[in-house]
Amino acid sequence: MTLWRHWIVGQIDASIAAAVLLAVAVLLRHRLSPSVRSFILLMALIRLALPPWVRSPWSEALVDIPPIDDGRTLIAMGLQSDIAMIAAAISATVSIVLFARIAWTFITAEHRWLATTSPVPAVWIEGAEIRLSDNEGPLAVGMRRPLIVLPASAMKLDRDALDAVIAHELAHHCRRDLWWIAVAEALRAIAWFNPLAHLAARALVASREDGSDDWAVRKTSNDPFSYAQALLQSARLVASPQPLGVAGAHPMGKRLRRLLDSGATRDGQPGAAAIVLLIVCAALAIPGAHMPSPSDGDDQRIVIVIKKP
Amino acid sequence: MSVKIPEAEADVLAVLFDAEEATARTVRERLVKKRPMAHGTVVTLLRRLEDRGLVKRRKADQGKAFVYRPTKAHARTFGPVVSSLMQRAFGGKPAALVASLFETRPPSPQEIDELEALVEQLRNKAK
Repeated sequence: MTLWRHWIVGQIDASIAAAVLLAVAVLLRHRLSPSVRSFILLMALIRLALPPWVRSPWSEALVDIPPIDDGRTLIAMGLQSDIAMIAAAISATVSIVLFARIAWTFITAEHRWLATTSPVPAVWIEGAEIRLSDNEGPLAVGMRRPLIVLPASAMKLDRDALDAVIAHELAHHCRRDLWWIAVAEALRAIAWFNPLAHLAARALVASREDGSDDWAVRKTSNDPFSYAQALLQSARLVASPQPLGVAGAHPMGKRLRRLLDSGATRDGQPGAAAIVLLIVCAALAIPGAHMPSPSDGDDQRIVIVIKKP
Repeated sequence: MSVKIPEAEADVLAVLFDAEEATARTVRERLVKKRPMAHGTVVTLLRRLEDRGLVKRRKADQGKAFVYRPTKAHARTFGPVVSSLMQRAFGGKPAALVASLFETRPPSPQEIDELEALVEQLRNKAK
């Protein structure tokens, strides 16, 4: 029984620590900058993924069970208890399956997306390759070869909206968000049985989205309202009927509230990410079928120099 | 038990779950952005869903059209329900390693209306 007590106490211990961090990051969404929130949530996930014999000082003071020194003691104790071994085996198996899935996705992602999307020669930006998909996107994918996948309908967007969408996806690549997501997924795979790990991973993704929103606003119009409108304009193009059984508001509501809160703390205030001067060159005329090109000549290139913050 | 159905049928069924009850025409209109289809195609899809026992039809109160509604019994066996639960629980495609603009899923037209109202409201407040 001691082993179970250790495990349960360890989980409660980790959960309390993670819950506090999670609460701070979620409740202070407007007050903390997205990067700070990302780090807080990363700490929460790491705490949940630590082995059960790591205990916080306060829980050692409060709960009196003989400490386990290291993994070997743990295994020795486990060998005396069949159920504990079975539980550990199940837990490890699930983690390994989840890891394998992450690894597989990591290895195959670029290839799969390149195979199912087509290039857009007309739109070029530094830092990523733009691809068109029938109905996926807009999304950023590809950790070794940065891709931005736009739905074909995105070509109907007006210039500002398209800029905003591309800038947002480019932000994910420049801010290494896919790596953050991968790390969050890996930690979640270790602590998969704890619901807090799923909440924290999700909040971490949301913090990366917020950060990319800030980045994109800074690099384009510098006006959060027109940026928000651009996002919604592109949402209209890919809108799908409400999936069934889904209740509750869309997560974008909270994201927009933060984005449009003039008092919210932003990333890179001032100049942390000012290293990159981003130049977007987009010649929007060529794939004629979808392009809004009433006055554009075939060879007309529109160059956006995205402003330095 | 879970029932696997083709994506086109799943989309049609999704509309029916959303609207509770709809004619083939309404279904077609609702899907026009996501999946443009001829009227005949929608009717065929609805037929197939009926054969699978996933929807029931009845004569409309007026006119010649049929009104379709999903059979409640199958609501839980329907794939998208599970996947939408997955999306809610795990925040999008698990381990897909993509950063999607709309996080878990694209908002529905109704949600976009609400979000636009929210932006408008915040803009007025900011002034």
